[in-house]
Amino acid sequence: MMAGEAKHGLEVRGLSVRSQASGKALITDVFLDAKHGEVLWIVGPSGAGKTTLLRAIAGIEHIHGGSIVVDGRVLANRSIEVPPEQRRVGMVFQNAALFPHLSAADNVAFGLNGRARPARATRAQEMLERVELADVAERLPHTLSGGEAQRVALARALATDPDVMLLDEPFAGLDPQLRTDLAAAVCRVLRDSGTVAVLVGHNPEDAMRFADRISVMHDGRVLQLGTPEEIYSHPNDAFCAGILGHVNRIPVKVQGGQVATPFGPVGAPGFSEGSAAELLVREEGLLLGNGTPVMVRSVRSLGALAVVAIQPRDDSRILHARVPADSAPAEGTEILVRLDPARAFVFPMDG
Amino acid sequence: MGAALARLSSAGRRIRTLNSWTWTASVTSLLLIAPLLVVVFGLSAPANDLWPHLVDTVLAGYIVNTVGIALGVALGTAILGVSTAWLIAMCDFPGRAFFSWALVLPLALPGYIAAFVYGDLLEFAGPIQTALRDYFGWAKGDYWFPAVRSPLGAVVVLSLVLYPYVYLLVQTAFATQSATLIETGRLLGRGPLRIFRTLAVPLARPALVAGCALAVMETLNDIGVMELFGIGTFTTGIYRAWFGFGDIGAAARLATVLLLVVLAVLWAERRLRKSLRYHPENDRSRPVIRYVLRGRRAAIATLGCGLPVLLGFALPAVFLAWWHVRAGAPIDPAFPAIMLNTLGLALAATALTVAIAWLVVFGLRLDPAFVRPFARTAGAGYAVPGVVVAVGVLGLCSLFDHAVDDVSRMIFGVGTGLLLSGTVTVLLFAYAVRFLAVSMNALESSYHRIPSTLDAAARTLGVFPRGMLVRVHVPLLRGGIATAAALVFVEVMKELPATLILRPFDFNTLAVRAFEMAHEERMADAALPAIAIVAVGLVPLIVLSRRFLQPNVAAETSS
Repeated sequence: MMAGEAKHGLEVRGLSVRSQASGKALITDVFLDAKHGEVLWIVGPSGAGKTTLLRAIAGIEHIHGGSIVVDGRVLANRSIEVPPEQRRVGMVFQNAALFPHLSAADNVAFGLNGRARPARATRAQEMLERVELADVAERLPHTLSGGEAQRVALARALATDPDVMLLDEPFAGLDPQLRTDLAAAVCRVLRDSGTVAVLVGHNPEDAMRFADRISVMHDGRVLQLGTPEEIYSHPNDAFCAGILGHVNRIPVKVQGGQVATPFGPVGAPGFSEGSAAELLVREEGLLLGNGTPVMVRSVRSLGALAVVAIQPRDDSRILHARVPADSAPAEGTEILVRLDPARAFVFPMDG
Repeated sequence: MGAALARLSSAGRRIRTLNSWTWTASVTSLLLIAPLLVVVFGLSAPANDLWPHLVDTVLAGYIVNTVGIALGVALGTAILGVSTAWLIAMCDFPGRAFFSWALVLPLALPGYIAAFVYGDLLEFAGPIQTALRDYFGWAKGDYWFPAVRSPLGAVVVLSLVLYPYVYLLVQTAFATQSATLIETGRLLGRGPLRIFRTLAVPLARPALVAGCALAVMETLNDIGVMELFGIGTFTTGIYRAWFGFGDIGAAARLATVLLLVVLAVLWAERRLRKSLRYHPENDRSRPVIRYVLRGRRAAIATLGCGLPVLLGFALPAVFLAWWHVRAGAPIDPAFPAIMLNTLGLALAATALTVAIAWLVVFGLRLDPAFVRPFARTAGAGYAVPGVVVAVGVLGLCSLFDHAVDDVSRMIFGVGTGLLLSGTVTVLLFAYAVRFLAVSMNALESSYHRIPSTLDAAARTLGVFPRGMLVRVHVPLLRGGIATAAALVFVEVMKELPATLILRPFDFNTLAVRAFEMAHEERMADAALPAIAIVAVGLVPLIVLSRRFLQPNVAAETSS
């Protein structure tokens, strides 16, 4: 670990990528950093530029500005562009991209050049064991399940001992239980390998659960970079607040440094008097017990949790609260609800 | 167009890799279009006596014959191709499964072979007219019989062997692309004829235009049928200008005009396909439910599919075999040598062409945006008639030879003479120009089945570019390479126009031999090389029909 501390890991500074076909900006002025042994999870809607960012780091996409540096070695900047085959960056693709004519073991051994054949075979077997797939070594890719194929692809990329590992939606198209198990296993292997791991994923719950840090991307920009807790509790803006869970959005006006809500005032420091703002309240930020009386319009169970649609008096708006299923109220009753100020955020109204 | 756009945008997402591979691919592509530039710019060379004479006497006839026959073949192949495609795609009748692939067989029969068979069968002294005279007791002049050695005869013969282009493309369009729409039409209560007229044909028009364009290209390329039927067209004119008068300038001028005709056809094809298209072909490949024909209708359908196969393939093949057998034991003593010669030539040309095609396609894969313009231009050689390629290659080689000779004289005081002209190298080069597109298409379509992420995976694993080619592409492309090689091999074996002009003195191929013997009406000697060509020509048809008719085969087994 001493060596790991001396290394800087991955540093992306002001990175911009434009589409070669249309010239349209795909990602703009992106800053990122990730350390060895860390799993950085990139979340964001499709078209946010997540995959483009990975491809740029891998070197299979041209950059138009900024720099990519790994452990002090410049991979790309204004004047340098190290070709992908020399970057020591491993990548796992969404569709696994296993070579269909090679067995699982041969796929894993593919990038092991400059070693004797037996050494390559040993290394391949070792890598397969690390992803708990020693028994599929001789099988061809089309006989593997989706999860197995992804783990073989991970072993293949890790076998060359890359400085950075990039995973592009590795769990897409897998059923939920398998996806969670696979994500846990993959993140464990990544952390153990001591590489810098950057993972693109769709599912925010997985990101919260397995990532060391999360980077929120939208419209080609990184809006926030931080631990799951930081992003959950201190989102930079309305978009970041909304991506890690369901929120109620309420348009409000700032008066006297705070905004009025049916559940009492919420502080809005730094806003000019009378400006239009948006109050975001996490669904789990509306707590049952005491507070303001509201009508229960509907209750939908999600299993352990229930979503309760509530309507404050003198208000046409329906809000949603997430509560433990066993404490869910009955439809049509009146209950008391208060607001958890730690789970409510005020942001300026988007232009 | 949709596919091209999709490729373009995916190209934009791949990183540019300017390296020795892409440069070599681009420069090689340029080399392959050099002969065409020589043809076009050779026009500026001073004219000699023959050209004005040609303009005064035969040029108008060449234009009328060439354009007339091309239009006639377009019409003929459209009628034969669309009607058989409709029957196979939309109807069930006895023999349908057999005809679905048998209808492709005429493609194995080069036009010049069909022409000499029908020329001999239908001429005044041929077996059919003789039999008619004997039976009815007619004498010369007592009856009317259409002259086979005429422009109309050429149209009929060429249509009979070229309609499979239309059949293949339109049949696929009928069977898959518009399946949902045709079924909707049936559910809305339209009868077969109205569906044919108002739905199927309009939807299949792009395929129809593409098929007819291929047939027209083959027609413009043809020299054998025209020579055997004594019709003056651009191809025969170019051949005579060069062979008869040794006037390469006049040949180049005629070649330029022919090239313009080809460009016009290509342009028209593009325009028509674009304007006749209603929607991108995004329909899932799914066979349509067919009409079941019975009784008289079934008999008509069987007959309708049987006649083209009979006249376009079976009858000529039987006569070739019969002539050969009738000739008895002493086969043409020159035959074994010619056979070996042809096989060797075809093998060499195949190796060269596939290697160049692969280089270009690999370059395309590495850097599509940079290499594409070069590759597309080089691929255009397939649309260029063999005689035009031949004239261009002749011109290019003589430029090269004279340049080398001059330089050598200047430096060493001794000339080198003509290094390339009149050698097999020239012929190989011409084949590469002409058939590059054939092998490129086969390789490209199998390259499209290799996802680009495999390339990216190889690169991030540090294997690039040679390792990627050898360890990923080669094993995955075996089928594509075999297809490309088979197609080029057969094309070279059949090739007549360029071979006639460029072959070294006393160098014969099966095609040239069959043509020359037919020209001298030595049918027994013409039959054997013709049979060999047809036999070898059947190979790529198996490949072709597999690729095109797959959905139908699937339908047959599943129902």
